[in-house]
Amino acid sequence: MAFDPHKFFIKFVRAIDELDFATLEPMIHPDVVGDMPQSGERSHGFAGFRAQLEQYPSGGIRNPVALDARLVADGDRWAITPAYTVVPLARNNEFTVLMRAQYPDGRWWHVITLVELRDERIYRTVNYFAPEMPAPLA
Amino acid sequence: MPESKQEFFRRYVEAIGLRDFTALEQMIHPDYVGDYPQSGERFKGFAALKFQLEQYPGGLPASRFDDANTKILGEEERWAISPGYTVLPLSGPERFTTVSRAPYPDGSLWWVVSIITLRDDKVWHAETYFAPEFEPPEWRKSMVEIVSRD
Repeated sequence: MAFDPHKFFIKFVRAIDELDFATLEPMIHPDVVGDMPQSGERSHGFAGFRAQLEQYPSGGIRNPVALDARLVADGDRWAITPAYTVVPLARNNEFTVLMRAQYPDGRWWHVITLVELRDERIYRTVNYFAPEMPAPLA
Repeated sequence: MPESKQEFFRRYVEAIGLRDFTALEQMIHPDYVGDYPQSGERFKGFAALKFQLEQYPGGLPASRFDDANTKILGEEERWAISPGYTVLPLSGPERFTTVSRAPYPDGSLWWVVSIITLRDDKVWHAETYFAPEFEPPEWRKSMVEIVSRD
């Protein structure tokens, strides 16, 4: 069956919500690197990924909107090789995933993750965390 | 030679950073809609985009294009196969993700992530998120490496 990135990421977000590490581990590349440019933090490997989820103070993020997580990517993208074979473009492995999640203090944040897949696993992530805020008064 | 999408977005990010409204207006679609999901704000048209950049309290500091901290994710070439096995360029909406880092009047630095849809080679829809820099929390310092933000 063909790999379906949309289903993959919905499953991924749901597994994070449920702290389902048995499901998560096979979805993560052994050489995964996760970056958080806002703080300069970089984690390596599944163990680092898991530790952050497990040890987040006060129980960590809750209620990520898994079903509404949106995948910003195009469906089919192809290029033509010199031999006229049609192949997926290499950058077909890059996606932007948008989520909304609740933190232990009750506040909602938007989480934007730029993901690179390799071997149909999560290989690189760059994560941005954006708090909800009231609109400035007009 | 036609301008690549990378070049287009480079000019776009720079025009916003420098408040170059002459350049920016040419790049914005007449039916432009800008969304800020964090606050629920929606802006329509170039005038609204210009207004918020010009009127920001304290004045937004100008910033130049920063190669190290600006990313543009998207495709230059996109193709599909027709039922007759002809290879055709895709004509659907072109979506790109831009990431930049911007200074605010109080001196803080924020990461700005925009999901941009082009129409007629202009910015038609922009969904923008603003993410503040923060210090690495103590509880996970032992689990991570700290890399430079500059």
